[in-house]
Amino acid sequence: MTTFCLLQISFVLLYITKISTQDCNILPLLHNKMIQGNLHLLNKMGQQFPEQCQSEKIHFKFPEQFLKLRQKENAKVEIQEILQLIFYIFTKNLTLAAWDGRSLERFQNGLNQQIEHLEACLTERMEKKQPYSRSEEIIRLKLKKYFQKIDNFLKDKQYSLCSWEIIRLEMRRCLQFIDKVIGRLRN
Amino acid sequence: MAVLIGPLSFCQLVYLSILTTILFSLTEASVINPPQKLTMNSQNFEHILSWEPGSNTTMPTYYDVMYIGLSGSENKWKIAKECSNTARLFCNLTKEYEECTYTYIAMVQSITGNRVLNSSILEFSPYRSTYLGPPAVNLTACPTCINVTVKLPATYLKESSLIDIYQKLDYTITVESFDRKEKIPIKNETSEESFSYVVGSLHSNTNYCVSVAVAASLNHHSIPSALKCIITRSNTQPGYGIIPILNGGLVSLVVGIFLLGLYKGGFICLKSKPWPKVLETTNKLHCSVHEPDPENVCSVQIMYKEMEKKEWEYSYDDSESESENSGDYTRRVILGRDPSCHAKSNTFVHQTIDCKSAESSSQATELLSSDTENSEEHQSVIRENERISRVFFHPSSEVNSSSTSELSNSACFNINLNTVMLGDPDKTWDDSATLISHQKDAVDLQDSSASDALESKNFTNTVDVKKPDCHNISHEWQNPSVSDESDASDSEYIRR
Repeated sequence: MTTFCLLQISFVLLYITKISTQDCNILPLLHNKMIQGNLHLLNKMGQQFPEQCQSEKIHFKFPEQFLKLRQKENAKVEIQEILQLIFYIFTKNLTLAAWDGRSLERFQNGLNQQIEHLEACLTERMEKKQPYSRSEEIIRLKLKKYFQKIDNFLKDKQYSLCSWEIIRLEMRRCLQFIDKVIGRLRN
Repeated sequence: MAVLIGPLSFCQLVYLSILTTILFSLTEASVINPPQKLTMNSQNFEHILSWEPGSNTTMPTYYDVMYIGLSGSENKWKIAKECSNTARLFCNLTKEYEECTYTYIAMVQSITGNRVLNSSILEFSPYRSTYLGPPAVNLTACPTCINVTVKLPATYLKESSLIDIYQKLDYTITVESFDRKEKIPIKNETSEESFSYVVGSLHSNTNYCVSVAVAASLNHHSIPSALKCIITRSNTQPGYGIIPILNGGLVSLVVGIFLLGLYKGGFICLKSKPWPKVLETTNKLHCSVHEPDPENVCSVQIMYKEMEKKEWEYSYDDSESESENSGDYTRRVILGRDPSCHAKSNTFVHQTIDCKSAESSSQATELLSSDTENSEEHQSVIRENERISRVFFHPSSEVNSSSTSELSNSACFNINLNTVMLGDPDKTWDDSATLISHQKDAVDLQDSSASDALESKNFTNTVDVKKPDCHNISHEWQNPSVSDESDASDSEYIRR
């Protein structure tokens, strides 16, 4: 009986893994949905942008060349990297942020799911990965610089409420950009 | 004391209440609220901010709209150019909100006299909050389907379409039957400005209404298109009208051609066509034979096949007798002899011509003239002996057609043989002798179908006269060109 049960479970797991790997074909659609949910959560967790924080804000220049990535596989890799960086930011000291804890948690889980899914699909097709061209390398570097700037900003402001609100605002914009690139992947 | 206190307190109360009301009214007048209820109406990236005034005051109030792009580099409030110091209660911020991915905040500042008040801040992210649509929809029907053609609306952003901004859009086609009983939502996605979708599996000859809405993954705000209705019918409907018309036209054309052919062939609508001239004589022939012919007139019937009024040249064998004339001539004229005729002359020329009709009379005249000419030539030729003779019918010979007056339709005419002259064409006509020089009697050539008495009289006369005349004639014919055959020209009978 136990062996039979084990067999059933293993079969089910096999099917699940097969199904989950097949998700890579509908990756763009799925990720659009995921980002949608994440963005909604990001909106929900805080209030309207506080007036007093307007003076503190700075301009984070998101590399818009990222939006023009042609290679689909490389774009997926870049998306995964961005999501990871965002996730990393939201693991920092959030005590002064005064956000809705539950929404924040769900936002973090959602990001994690997205990252894991992308990882699974990308490692499957690792052999199909194209070498980065010079322009693509530049985009990668710029993205890294962008997130470094955000990190520095938060540190300088000592993770104050205003700094977090400014960053939240910027992350919403960032997710919008990712959504745009994923939309292009669906073509 | 209590009484005094009462009225006093009453007065105080009244006084106080009056004061407070006055104060309140004063404070109300002095309290000016900032603009309120800021709302952003955005459609296809056209952003219009509207607000309500803080309070109704008699003093004029002007407004300034300030904004900041939060994701941008500027930290200071910027004033919207078209909405500075405006008295209106709305402002178009399309040009100010040019970065679609930014989050913008806006504030309205009211200026009343020298008092400046700021409204609350309105945050707005165009990318996520603008309303998309309505798209332009065109419908074409087929028997059980509808072809929906959708065109996305244009954005108010410079050189950017909805697809440029969102890359991919989800659209929902709602098909419902006219009576709202069926509702079919169809969801799909597009990355093109203009696209079409065929909605199938519909009932035929049913009225359906279609509405299309577009949305993006991060922007679910959409305005659906107005309901457009169409009936699922075949596109070849105009063809249904054309085909029977064409068929009818073809059939009528075929029938018309057939009838035309019949008409041309003379099978229908027989008309009395004009007979040919030649046949008319035969027509008359049938009509003419009514009266009995009591006359026993010697006649030789000659039927002409062709009449030629021209010079003839003949040469024939001398040995041929007159009786053998018929066979020797290579001419087209056939000489025939009536066996009942006692006269020996072989050159009787007869022609059966109906004298009754005027037409035939003219023909008869022609033929007669040619006949006489030929007959003359006959005779001359016959008499000729190895000679070429030419005989002309002298044009000066009289042809008296006065006798025709007696007979209405007669084409008969009298030839005064005294005036007929035969002669050699080489010589002048003066030398030629008249046919009948001493013969004074005219030869009446009349229609046999004319009055019997007259006819018989004439013919008998001619018969009586002829014979001696013939001889005379033979004598008279002393032309060198004419041979001495005697009987050839005994008489000429042209019987009609």
